[in-house]
Amino acid sequence: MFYVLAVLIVVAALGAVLAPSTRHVLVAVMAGDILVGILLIAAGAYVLGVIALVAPAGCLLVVAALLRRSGYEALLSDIPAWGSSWPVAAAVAGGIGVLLFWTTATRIDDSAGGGGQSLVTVLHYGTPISLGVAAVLAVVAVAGGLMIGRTGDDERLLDRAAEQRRLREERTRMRRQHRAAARAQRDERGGAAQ
Amino acid sequence: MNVGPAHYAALSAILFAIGLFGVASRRSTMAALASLSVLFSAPVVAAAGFAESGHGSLPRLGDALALFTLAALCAELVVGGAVAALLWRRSDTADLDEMTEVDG
Repeated sequence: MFYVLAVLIVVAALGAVLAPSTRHVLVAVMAGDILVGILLIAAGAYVLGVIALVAPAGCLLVVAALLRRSGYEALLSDIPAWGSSWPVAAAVAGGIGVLLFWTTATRIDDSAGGGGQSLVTVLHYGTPISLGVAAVLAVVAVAGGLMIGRTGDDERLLDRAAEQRRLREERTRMRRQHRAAARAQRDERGGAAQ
Repeated sequence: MNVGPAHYAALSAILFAIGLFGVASRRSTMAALASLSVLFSAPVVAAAGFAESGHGSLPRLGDALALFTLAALCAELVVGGAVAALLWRRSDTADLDEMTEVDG
């Protein structure tokens, strides 16, 4: 079970990084998050698995839906996938991956595992302050996200004015092009008549 | 073959490398954000895997660590999405290579 899920998670992660379309990228990330949740449930971390199954994929879905509804579709548009420095990025990522693999996976023994306390017990008695900080972080993040991403009345007016200006300039440019084309045609006809 | 902490560590290292490559090389803001969430899922897999496999006698703190990482991941997605929207509104592009200058 672990091996099948691990392969699927790696494939989803590769899809999230290599897919040319932004929509496919988001679908691959959601699939990867869901597979990680299933992996955790299969490993025995039931509460954590359910949270991992729902929370990140839900956040991503809500962000994508809000962007689509609020007129930010261009953010989800397809942009040529790779920056110019992708070979350097590949080398650095590969190097760090190998270093991580070497320092953790090859040097760990089976005595690293945990005991029988449940996650809720650990959170309640072992890490209550960290749990509080995480809860505050989540609330602040949602509030901050809404605050940063919101569009005020003045911004909507400015956006509309900018859009109208862009359309006006587009129309002027088209008219100028038509006029130039008509003039060129007239000149051609005049030249042929002479 | 038993699945031990080393297996989760290996999977975590692979996910971290893939996510890091995506963050460093993608040009779209949303794709870079998505790669960042792949990168964030690496410590979740490692911490939960360490806690759930093996035969140690320590309390299961790895699960708690993984939960806090998930909270950070969700915060990153929400705030990152909002910042991406803000940058797009200011610079009129979602291409990270074109965002050479952002006015305040």
